Amino acid sequence: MTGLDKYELIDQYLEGTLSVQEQARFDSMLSSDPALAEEVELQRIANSLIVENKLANIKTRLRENHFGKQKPSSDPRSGTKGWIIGSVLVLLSAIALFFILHNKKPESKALLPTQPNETLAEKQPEVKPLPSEADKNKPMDTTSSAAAAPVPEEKKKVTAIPEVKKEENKTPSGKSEMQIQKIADVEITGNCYLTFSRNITINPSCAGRSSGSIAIDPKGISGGTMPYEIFINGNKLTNPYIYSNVPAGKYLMTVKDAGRSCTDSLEISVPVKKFCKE
Amino acid sequence: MGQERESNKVIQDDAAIILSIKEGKDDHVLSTLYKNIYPKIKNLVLKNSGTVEEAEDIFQDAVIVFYRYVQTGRFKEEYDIDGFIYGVSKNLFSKYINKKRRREDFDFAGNIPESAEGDLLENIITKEKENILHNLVGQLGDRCMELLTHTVFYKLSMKEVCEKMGFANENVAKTANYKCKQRLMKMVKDNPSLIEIFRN
Repeated sequence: MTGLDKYELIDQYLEGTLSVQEQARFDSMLSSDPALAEEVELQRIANSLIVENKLANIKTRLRENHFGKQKPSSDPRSGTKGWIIGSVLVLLSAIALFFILHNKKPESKALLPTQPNETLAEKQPEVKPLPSEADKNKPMDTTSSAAAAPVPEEKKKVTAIPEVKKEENKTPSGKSEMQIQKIADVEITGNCYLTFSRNITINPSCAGRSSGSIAIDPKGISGGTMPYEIFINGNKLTNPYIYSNVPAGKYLMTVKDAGRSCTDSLEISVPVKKFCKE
Repeated sequence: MGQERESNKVIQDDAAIILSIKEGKDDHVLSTLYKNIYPKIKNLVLKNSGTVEEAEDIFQDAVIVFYRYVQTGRFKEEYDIDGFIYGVSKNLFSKYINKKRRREDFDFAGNIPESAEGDLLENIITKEKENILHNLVGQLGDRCMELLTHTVFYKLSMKEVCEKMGFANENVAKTANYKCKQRLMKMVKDNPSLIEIFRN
């Protein structure tokens, strides 16, 4: 059976379009083949993600078209104000790119404070229409928005981005509904320059329980010498680099490069999950 | 007579909305729902000392629950859309208020469709989910997600997918769909926290 055949069989199984006999045969295959069972589960979750994504998209569109609000997570393609968000994203990527380039040349570190500000100043006109809208957003709506946060305070424009970066870096704790922390291209402090350019996925924990987790993608680390060792609160993580079953709170992630000559740390907050089953 | 015509009209309107959802005319559906139903939700929330922002949130969540019911075929013909969204909103708002005030004495006895009650909160799209999904689409690519939405959400045939996305033939579309799905599955596999959140 080729991959595609197997995929289509699973698809039919999940859609419930197999005949009674086929269904029975598939069920018996499932109980004797854990790898197949895992694949079915993955395919089912992938389908569910696709549906959820479409629904999230509809919600964004409703919000943007009728309630005149933008969110960091909104789809730039949908809604009349998508272009504003798009331009802010472009701006952020430009800065992210700067950090990547900068990391490759540690000697250019002195340029850090000026260059991103210039980039920001050039882009200013594009974000002007936003403040009045953004001000209306209630706290619930402004959860952890790297894209929206720089906008409301026009006077602080030039320094806004570095501040946001710092906030993202240090205190995600106030953002209880956030699960993926975009810690993109933020240099974490240490005795050399390691850069984190991918996401750290944080799963909030139900209050009073240890149901949170932190997942780290080591491919996102650059600088120093590979392979890296990753620690959270001093506990070394091994592939797949997940620190799970933890209560809400602050955790210290430490990355050491090969030879441990280069060490960087980053504080990560696991927030409290809002809706938990009793 | 007049009343009968009125109720016939409602049924026709409802059928038109359901059809529009299936055809992906979301903007049309959303404006209709916003125009016809949102004022009632706003009224409900404000009358119970809620804010306009809360009304907006509740309405958005209720519309998503409605969409989800339609997509999964759980939205029965005998439901009327207006009543369904109003009932779901009422229920969501009472859950929200109970959470907020941490007391149980604020209880709406509503005419909510039975099946909508149980896992209502699992039917909404939380902000955490939105953030995760946004990120995921970023990794997967827009075109892949568009293709997968056609096949999984709208359950279009490969022939229809070809027409919508300009693939050369059905085999090309099928292969592309397979590859996109495999990539998404790989992302899920590599990220166990996704499994926990989207398992239900």
